[in-house]
Amino acid sequence: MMLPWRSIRLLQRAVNLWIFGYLFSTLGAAEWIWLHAAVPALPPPPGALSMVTHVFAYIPTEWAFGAVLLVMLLALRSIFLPTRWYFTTVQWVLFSSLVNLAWLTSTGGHQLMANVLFWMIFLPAVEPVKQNMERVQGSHVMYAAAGWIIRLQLLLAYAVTGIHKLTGTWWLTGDAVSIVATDMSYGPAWLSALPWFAGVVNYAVLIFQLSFPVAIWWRPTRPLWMVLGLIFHTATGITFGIVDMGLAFLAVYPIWFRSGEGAVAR
Amino acid sequence: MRSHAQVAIFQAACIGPCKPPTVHHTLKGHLHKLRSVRVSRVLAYSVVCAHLLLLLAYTLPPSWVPDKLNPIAQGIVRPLFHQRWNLFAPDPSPCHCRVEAALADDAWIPLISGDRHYMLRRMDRPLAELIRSDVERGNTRLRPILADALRGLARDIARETGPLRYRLVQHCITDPERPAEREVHITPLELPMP
Repeated sequence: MMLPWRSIRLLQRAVNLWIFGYLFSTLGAAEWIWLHAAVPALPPPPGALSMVTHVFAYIPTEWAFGAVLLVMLLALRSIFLPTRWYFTTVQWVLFSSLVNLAWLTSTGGHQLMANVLFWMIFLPAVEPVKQNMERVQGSHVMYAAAGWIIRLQLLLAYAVTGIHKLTGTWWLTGDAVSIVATDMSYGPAWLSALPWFAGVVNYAVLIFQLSFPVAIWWRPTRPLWMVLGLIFHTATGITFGIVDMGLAFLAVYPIWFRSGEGAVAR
Repeated sequence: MRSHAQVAIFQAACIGPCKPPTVHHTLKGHLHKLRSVRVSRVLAYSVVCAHLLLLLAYTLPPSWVPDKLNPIAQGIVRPLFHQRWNLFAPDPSPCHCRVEAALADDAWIPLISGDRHYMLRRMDRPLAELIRSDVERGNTRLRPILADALRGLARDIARETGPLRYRLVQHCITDPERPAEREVHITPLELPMP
């Protein structure tokens, strides 16, 4: 049930690298997003729980820039040093709040990262020694549960988006990709000039998203589907201008790496 | 019987005067360990299953989710684990839409031009989509949060030209099999007072 330590550590590094890179890339627009936000924050959802993930609804939004710098600093630290749970907790609270503050720029990739960060709080900072884990049963349970929740969270994202597409019309008739390609916000427009190719891409996307959860679970197909995912996210990221979203998904892939799994996964 | 390796490990771990465990103690220890491992596995599975169930209830199409489960998922997932997985789903938007602002000489320019930072350009589309959904419901007078967002994003233009007028421009498909042929719809927008 335990996940391989190498995968966990690689995930921690990849996620922190993504967070640092993403926040660094926003600094050029800091005046509009963090310092004097052009778009007002959404009111937080009802309930006390939202106080944790919407802190800028309760403190001045001008502090967001300080939060960006702090999260970047902690991310940089966790790339090179052990990822401590208390630092990850601070990162999760602030990063979730930043994502909710800049709600108009947020994508599924940001939401994925915020969720993964929460469960990373429960992952160990250093490689667990078996004897220690037996002594501390509570952390053992949370380590296993958090690792599997991150794994399943990734699969859920692909499966649910595929299911949503199945409930529509144009993905099933093969017209969806042509419609997206001729939309001036996305493209590439040349795709609609080749309707048969646009149709092939349409069904390939649908099959990829729906089969991903099964193919990743099954070891022989796992590497191939990860390569397909790399191609899919790179292509959509560059074409639609959502590179950060694509990289967010790719940063979570290491949790499914199988290195050393046979020895510890029982 | 303990193996030589077990004895060696025990001796290595034993600091100061200590007695080797008896057979009774070892068996008891094994049983206790086995039970705690089982309990921890059940606990871990329970946490994973409960979380996954809530996420599915929150993210799947509403018609797939039992009515009783929906409020629980909304109460827990919405504030802590919010996520939406419906980009271009169930169908891509049939209209490309953007907001334009009028300068003093009546020239219309995009609210966010193509040479702005990618984070600003990214706001253009979802903001226009939100406005479009309001317009489709017959509300050309914007909600205050959307009006504030428009004013905020156009603040540098307004600083030079004074109060601005806004309009929603939509390029909509008429036939899904010929998506390149699109009709243009222009809707003037009315902003509430700040």
